Amino acid sequence: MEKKDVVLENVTKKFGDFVAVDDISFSVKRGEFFSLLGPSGCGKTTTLRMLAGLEKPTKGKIYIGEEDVSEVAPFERPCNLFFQNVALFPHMNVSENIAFGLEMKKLPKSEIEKRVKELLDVVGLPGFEKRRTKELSGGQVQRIGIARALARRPRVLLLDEPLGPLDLKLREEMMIELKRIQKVVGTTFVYVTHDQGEAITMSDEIAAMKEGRIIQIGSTEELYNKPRTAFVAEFIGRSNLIRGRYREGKVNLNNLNKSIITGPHKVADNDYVAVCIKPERISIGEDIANLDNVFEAVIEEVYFRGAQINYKVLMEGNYKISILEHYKGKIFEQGKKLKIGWEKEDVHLSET
Amino acid sequence: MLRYIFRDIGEKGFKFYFFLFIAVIYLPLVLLVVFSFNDSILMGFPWRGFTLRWWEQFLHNPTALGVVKNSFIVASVAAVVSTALGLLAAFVLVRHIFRGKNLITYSIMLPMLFPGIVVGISILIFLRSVLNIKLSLFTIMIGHILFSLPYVTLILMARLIGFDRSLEEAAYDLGASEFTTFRRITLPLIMPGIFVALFIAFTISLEDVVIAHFLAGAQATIPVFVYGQLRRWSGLPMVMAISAFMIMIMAVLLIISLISARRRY
Amino acid sequence: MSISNKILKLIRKSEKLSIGMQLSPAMFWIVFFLLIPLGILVIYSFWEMVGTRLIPVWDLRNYVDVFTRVGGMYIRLFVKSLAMSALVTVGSIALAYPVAYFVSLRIEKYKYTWLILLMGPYLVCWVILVLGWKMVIGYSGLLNYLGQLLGLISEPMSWMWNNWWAVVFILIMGWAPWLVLPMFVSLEKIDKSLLEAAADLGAKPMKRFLRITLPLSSPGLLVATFFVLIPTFGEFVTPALAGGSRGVMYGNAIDASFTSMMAWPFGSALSIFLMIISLIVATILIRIVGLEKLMESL
Repeated sequence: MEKKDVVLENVTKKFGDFVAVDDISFSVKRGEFFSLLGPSGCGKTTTLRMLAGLEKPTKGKIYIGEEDVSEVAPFERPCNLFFQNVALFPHMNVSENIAFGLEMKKLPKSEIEKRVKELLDVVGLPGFEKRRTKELSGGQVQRIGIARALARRPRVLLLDEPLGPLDLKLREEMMIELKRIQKVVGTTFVYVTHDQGEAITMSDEIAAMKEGRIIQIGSTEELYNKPRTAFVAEFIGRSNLIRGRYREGKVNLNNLNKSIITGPHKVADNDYVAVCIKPERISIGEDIANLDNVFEAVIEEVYFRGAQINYKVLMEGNYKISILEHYKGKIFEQGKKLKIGWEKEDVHLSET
Repeated sequence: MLRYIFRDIGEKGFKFYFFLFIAVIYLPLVLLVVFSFNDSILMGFPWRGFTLRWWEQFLHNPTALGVVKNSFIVASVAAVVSTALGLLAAFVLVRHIFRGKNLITYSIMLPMLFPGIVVGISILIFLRSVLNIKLSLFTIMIGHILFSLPYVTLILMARLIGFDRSLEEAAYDLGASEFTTFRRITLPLIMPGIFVALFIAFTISLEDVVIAHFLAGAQATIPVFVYGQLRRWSGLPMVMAISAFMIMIMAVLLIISLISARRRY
Repeated sequence: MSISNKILKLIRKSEKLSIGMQLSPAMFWIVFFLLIPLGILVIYSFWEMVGTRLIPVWDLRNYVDVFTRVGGMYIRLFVKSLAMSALVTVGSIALAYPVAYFVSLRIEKYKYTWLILLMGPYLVCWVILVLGWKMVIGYSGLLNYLGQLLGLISEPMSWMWNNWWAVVFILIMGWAPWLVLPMFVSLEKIDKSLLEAAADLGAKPMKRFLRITLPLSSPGLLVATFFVLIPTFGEFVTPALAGGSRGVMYGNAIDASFTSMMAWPFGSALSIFLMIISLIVATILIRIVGLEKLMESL
């Protein structure tokens, strides 16, 4: 059996009457990049703070490694937290910041210096020891924050929306950087974010959360291609959802007297389902009759994005559909009536 | 065209007013310092030549020197004690929610809501008629600690409200205990606020005449001594030297705060 | 774990205990040296004093006396002092506001250096400030000297000293430097793009000032009012030194009944009036502006 670094068993957290985290259980394998993904207020940050020991669970048990840490103070836990705002100590320089956790461990000075140097190499900022925190750029602050959190060689590094304050370009850079650092040090990362792009880019596994509960846990591909519910489908990869009733390999649509051919699925007949189709799986054009499903549509909006074109179309039955197509030198204009379609293999059924 | 000329005059007028304001508020102080060297027993114009007589009188007068010493003792003790009291209270008022918090905040602000004279006389009659304590430097300290408390507490509260708690959490997370976190993170970061509080409390005490006037016994502070001399209009030239001395202290305090402000902004 | 940590943990166990422990020194000071003394002040205002002995007679005579003694002089003094305080407040704010405005909107570099410089004279104690102003407007002060030197006046102008006018003038000049800061703070908070937006919408400079800058800086004006009005109500030092016999204020009457006249109960009754009016004004002002604004201004 694989080693688990983090295990949560039926953890609940209440603030007064408000249930922030509602009976969740999951485990994270050693060395994995694990993301808690969900909209704000879904309980993901509270979950992370409970792992860090900054909040106490109302019910349930938390294990880090094999140890039950439910009663262990934050400063004695084998995990470290990377803060949303990084929280570098403003009155200390870079090496003092990184060394802080090591000093608390009472390591000898020479060992501390060695480790600080190593860590700065890992995060790609060698020679930054004497810099003051005010002199660092946004991306550098993040890297130093990670170095500081990794200094004590925690079993688990907890990250709370670390890329939130960065601009788009820097964020993309840091995503790659984070993943690289994680591979180099081999530490288990538990990552909290509301950004599906970040989660998809970096994670090995994702737990999608909503209103204090975990809706689905799985590999990134699984969540992307086979969202269990409409919520997950909309949140990850921005699927198009068309609701209807399943019957014998078809879904009869609510708004339209037609059906979508889906092939056989493990769904009971007459169940209400959401058909989800990824924007990039839909074809658009005037002559696509050879697909399994073809519908009439009108183009409402066109967004040209260079390599891709994003069409927002209104399908018959008043369904708004988003389509991503590779740009091959041709753009359909707004208001054009045409056809859209997809194969039955490109369809996934989720709970509504 | 005319509009622009008027606007120009308006802008220049503003600038003129600004520098005039500074000149006028400093004028009396400059005159005092200059005329403390005037060779005349009458206080005021005209200038009759340079002398160090009044400064010598002041520096050889044991009463006057004692008064200076008293002022610094009282101000130092009052500043330290009121800052300590204010710091403890500010921590609780900013970081905890409890019943009666508003009432307690309001009562700590109370000394600021009365004129100093009311504070002075009420402490006076309490100490004299109820506790039967003799007036001394100690009684002045009591009054000054009370009077600075709201200012000090407000300053420290403002600092603590602006304090990023996640810095403390980061320290816990990195293995620091509560005490170590306070010593290594919280205290260094609020130190500037503590210095401002000490500075304000020290200044309030050093410059106060209202409360000290009622609570001073045989031992006076500088303002009380000068007030007494002025009311009798006696020993005037020497009083001018003492006043000039106080103004110079003010200038030193001002320069200190200028330097520390430069560093911060 | 060290001993201090153990103690801290123990304290933390009971949050209420720790709150109490941290608040008690300050609250002790407030209760013991303010609330109880004020209570005694109230009690004494119903007593009487014979020689140096206080006698609990429990009547309202002292309050009646405030209105009737010396033909109602005290109550007239009270009203006059209020009027003088109001005048000082308006005057010092009017002097300081343009300065705060200039620092906030016209000075770009070293704003805080200028601000500290502006506060300087306030750091000097009132007694010395009054003495300094005597050097300017007194009988042998700068103005009279220059006037005579230039032949504008034949003899020193005596109207400038030893009257209520001199008191008001010195108080205005003394308070103005201190008021720049609170007004600066609230001017500084105004989003400068609002003014540009108003200009863009066609508002002339004067309109812009009256419709945007002034209303948005009103918290600063109220804090400034609070800073001047309360202490000026009880002012007695400046009138004693610069007011002569006609420039005395209510505070001088209180001072005299405690220091020279030994009339504590009557002085207590006088103080109660002062206390009540300052408490009302202060509470109203703090209610309007809030403690936060007061904090920013310190």
